[in-house]
Amino acid sequence: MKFLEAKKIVASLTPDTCQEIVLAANSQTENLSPYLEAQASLLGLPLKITRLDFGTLEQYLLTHDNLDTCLFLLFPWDFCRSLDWRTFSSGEPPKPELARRDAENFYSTLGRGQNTSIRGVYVAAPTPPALSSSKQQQILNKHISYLAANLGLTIIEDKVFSLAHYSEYGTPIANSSAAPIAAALAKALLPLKNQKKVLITDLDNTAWKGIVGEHGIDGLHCTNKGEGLPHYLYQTYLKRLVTSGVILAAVSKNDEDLAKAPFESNDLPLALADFTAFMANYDKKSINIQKLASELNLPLQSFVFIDDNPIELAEVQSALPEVSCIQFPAMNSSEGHHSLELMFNSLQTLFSIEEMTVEDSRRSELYQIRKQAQNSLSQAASFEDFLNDLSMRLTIHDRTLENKERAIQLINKTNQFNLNGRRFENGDVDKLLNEGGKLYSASLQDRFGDHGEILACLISPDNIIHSLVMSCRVLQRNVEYTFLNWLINERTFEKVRFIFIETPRNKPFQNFIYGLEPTSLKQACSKGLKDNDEKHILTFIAKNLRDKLDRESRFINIEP
Amino acid sequence: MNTEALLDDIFQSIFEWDSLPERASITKANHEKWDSMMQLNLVSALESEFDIVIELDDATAIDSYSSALNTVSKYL
Repeated sequence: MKFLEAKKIVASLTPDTCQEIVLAANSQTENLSPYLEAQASLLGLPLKITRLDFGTLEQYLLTHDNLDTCLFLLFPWDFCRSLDWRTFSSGEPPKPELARRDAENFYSTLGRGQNTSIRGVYVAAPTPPALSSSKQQQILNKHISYLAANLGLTIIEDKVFSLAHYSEYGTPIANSSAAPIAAALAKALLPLKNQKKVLITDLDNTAWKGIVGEHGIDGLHCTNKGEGLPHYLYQTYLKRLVTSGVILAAVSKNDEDLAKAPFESNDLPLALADFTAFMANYDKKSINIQKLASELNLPLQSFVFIDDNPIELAEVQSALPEVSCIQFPAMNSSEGHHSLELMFNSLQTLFSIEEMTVEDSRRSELYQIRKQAQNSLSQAASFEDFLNDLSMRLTIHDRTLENKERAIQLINKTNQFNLNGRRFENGDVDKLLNEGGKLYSASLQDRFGDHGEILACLISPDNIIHSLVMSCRVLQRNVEYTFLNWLINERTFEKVRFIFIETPRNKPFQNFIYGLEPTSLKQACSKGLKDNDEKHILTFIAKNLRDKLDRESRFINIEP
Repeated sequence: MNTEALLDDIFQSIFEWDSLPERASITKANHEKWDSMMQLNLVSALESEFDIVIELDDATAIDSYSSALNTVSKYL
């Protein structure tokens, strides 16, 4: 991306919809700003960047508790001052252990002492010969890279550092590398991998060239040659996303029969069956999208909306700022094909389809099952009738010894119904299990179909529940009560102990746990559980939960 | 696009002018906004748009539209 192209994209942003981000760096980062704002916008994350003054990062870290809005750009000398080219002198070299301690102190400051991940990029730039031997220097530099990786930073080892610019202007990134570094920074802003789950596409001049209401089916273009080619490629890519588990929906200001007709002709890469939802009406697109989010029970942050019309994009972006909005490029300009390539790059980044599980590839089907159940709910006389009619069966799996992947994936990707938001590496889980811990998962079937493995629970050898998560697809089915009831019986718990932490996104779990047994919880909170108990252990007396759990579990049969 | 037209766009974009002033009047001395950070942004934009890498001495010597044009021409 070139400078003027970046400036053009930035000029088209609507300030009100931009997310404020602090570009947290000790150095001058002016040369990155336009590229970063432009690259982030292409990923559907319009930004307004605030930069720190030169050399004030540590001061900022000491005076700000919340680093959620920070995007870091760090270098070795941010971790260990002795490695800074600007202050390097021929004086006494620091002792390696002191240099290492410096680096670890900075790491602790960034990770808030709890190994919290931060977002950004670490440039493993060359350092001056600060330590007395090159071997010690190499060890220190490797250690700092390790700390940076542990913080969740993207490590960049390419030759992007310019000593000349850094000495003269305080700008460590060479101008020629500003655009790629900005792209890496923008990528680091994306939420966790696979976070985007839903793609909502416009139809006219997006899924095909032409307007079906005006040109008719025969006047539309979507073939592998000529002016329909970009749209054919787009549909082919969407088909691939659907196969890999992305939920596809159409939103179009059209009559429904007209909008559906081209997909019934069998000439297009996509078929009607590929769409989990098809919203063809004359409502505002933001209203349709909001409605779909409620039906699927998915957060708007997991939605991407694509339209060729900048006015429609602005309407959705303004009403639903959490949705990532991307423009399908106008193909009549000379820049059209380049813009098409940029759009596909953005989509590939947003919908990373690595490491898919069986559940991922079935996601579309699973949400269609959920939608059918939603319809059934609206027809049921009462919520209890609805739950009864579902004929739910919960199968519990002991995943302690094998087939752990889906359970660990659930723990690491679920945000809403999540006990504490903690993520676990495979190694961490194995360690707990080798010491005598337990890993369970549960699958749910009902009369509409098989929902797959939707719940996971990790228990330490001392019977403390370290993780309990459940897919939001099956919220409001009482699965959580049924599982907890089963667990208490299975493990003959007298006390149920959870490591519970409130996070900004686990409201559904908070509702569940606060509703379990208000008296215990009130006592726990009065002891300062939320703020002072470092271990965050919340204890319930099992027999006090019995009545509530039996009552709420009556709709689901447990299968061995 | 020829060199001067591209240079016009760069100056206009960097200094956020609605229209380009008389080229001869575009000097560091005439424009208060042209500080060291503006210098950095200008050099960064020239390098990006013309696909060149300007030596530090040449970069710091740019102090007017015409010197920017001369510097770019030297590298093209």
